[in-house]
Parts: sequence; C-alpha cells; structure tokens
Amino acid sequence: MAPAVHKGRWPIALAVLAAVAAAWFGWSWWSAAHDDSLARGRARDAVLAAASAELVTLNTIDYRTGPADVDRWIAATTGQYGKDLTGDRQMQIERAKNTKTVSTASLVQAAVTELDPTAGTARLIAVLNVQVSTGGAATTAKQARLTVDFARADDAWKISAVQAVGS
Amino acid sequence: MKLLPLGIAGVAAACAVWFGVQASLLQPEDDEALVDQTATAQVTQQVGAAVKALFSYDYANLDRTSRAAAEMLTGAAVQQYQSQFTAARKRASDEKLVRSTTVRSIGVRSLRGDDASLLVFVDQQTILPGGGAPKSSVGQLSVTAHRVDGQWKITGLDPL
Repeated sequence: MAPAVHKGRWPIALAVLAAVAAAWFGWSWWSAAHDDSLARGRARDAVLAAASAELVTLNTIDYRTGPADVDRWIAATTGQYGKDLTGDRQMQIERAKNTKTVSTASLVQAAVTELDPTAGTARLIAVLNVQVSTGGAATTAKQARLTVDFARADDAWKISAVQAVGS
Repeated sequence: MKLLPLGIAGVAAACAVWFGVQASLLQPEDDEALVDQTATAQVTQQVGAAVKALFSYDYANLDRTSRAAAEMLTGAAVQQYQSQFTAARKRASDEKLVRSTTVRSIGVRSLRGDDASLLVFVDQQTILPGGGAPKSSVGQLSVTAHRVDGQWKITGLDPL
C-alpha cells in the first residue's frame, strides 16, 4: 500500500500550486509588457491610425466653417509645423474665405517607413485623394503622394511635417 | 490554522487568473511590419529592386526586363504585368525608348509570415531617341509579395 497523503496536507499543496501558477503568469505578463516588439507594433498601429485621421483633417476646409477647420489643423499638428499653422491661422481663414475654398480628402493608402517608439518619432508615406473646389466652381480631384513626419506629443501621435513627394 | 493555506491558495489562484488574462491581452499580434526590422528591411530591399527592374527597360535589350519579370513575378502578377508590358514593349521598340525607374519611397504596410503588402512611390524617366530632355513621370503602386525559399516575389501590382 502506498503511503496515504496526510489529510491535513492538501490545502498546503493547493497553496503551493496556486503560488507557482501566479508566479508563472506574473512572469509572462511582465515579459510581455516589457517586450520591445510589442511596443513597436503598438506604435506602428497608433501612427497609422493617427495618419488616417490627421491627414484628412489637414486637407479639409470649408470657407463657411474656416475658423473651426483651421483649429482642427492646429490640433492635428505639433512642433514647429503646429506653431507655423497657429501663426498663419488668420491668414488661412481669410484665404479660404476669399477664394471660397471647399476641400475634402480621403486616405488611399499609407505605410510607416521609420519608427522610433523610444524617441517618439515616426515617418510615413501616404497617398491621398483630395477634392478641391474654389469660387463655387466644380470640384477638381487630385492625388497627393506625401512623406509625413510624426512626433508623439502627450501620448498622441501628431504631424510634425508634411512634404509632397514631387517628380 | 487550517484556513490559512486555503486563503493563500485562493489569493494566489486569483492572482494567477488576473496575471494570465493581462498577459493574454498583451500577446504580440502577427503583423511583423517594422516590428521584425531585419525581415522588414529584407522585403523592402527585394521588392524595391524588383519594381525597379520590372519598370525599367531599354528598347535595345527588352529581354532583360522580360527575364526580370520571369524571375520576380508569381501568381496573378504574371498575367497582370504581361498585359501591361506587352503594350509598353511594342511602344518601346517602335519609338526606341529607354525608361529608367527609381524607387523614391517604399514602406511595408503589413508583413505576416511569408506574405507582405507594400506601398511604393516610383519616379520614371523616359529618354527619347531624338536626344531631347527626358520625360519625367511619377507613380504610386500598391504591391503584394510572397516569400518563396527566402526570396520575395511580387504577386500583385496595382497602380493607385
């Protein structure tokens, strides 16, 4: 006959077993949370999500709602670019009003090309369809190909520079 | 005294469940674009080189472009490219054209296992036989690629 487990021992065995399980899952949580690739994947997705909203915002203006539209441009940007837009705010509003500009945009495709989650910087290339109408004339469509720089500001990725990739 | 180990077991079990749930929420996703930097650089380099070769041609050596196509294309892209290149090829030899394509920018949109999709900006210069100024044009391509024996091949080419 095998020696029977003492009746009083099983709660201790259970406690040990549960502690081991807690240690195991605790370690896997810790290591997952400190995984560099996880941080990169999240940063990439955050930049792409920010790009699709902010690039559309930056190419959207209606002369009838100019002040609110330009304020949205400023909110979507950071750094020197944001400062420049803030400084030009009144001029942009006036210009849209004088030319009766209505512009809308949609993102066709984008890809992140550079990513540094630690420094909080990223670069992305994007193709955008922009529809512009001025002076009440018919809308003209054009495709823009862009290089866009992002910087993380207060936990959000914002546009710090936009450049058209010309020929 | 008997309740103490049970209490510890209960608390530890609760912790195990909590930690396990948190860890599973953090599981890295399967998209390796810009996450696996070596693989990202490799697909970028190979697809960039392929696009450059596929869209560059010299009327005096059109077979070189055809060889590049045979080597670098697979699946639906073969048919897709042939239908476009047949016309370009005829025009190139009729008008004695030399076209060079450079990749201006390239980015990996997704990279899952042996499948990738990329966005490529190309610049093209066409030299006419008359010796005049070369004609420039730009293009944007959505490219899909599949890795076969460590080599990325293009499976889809769509101008945007």
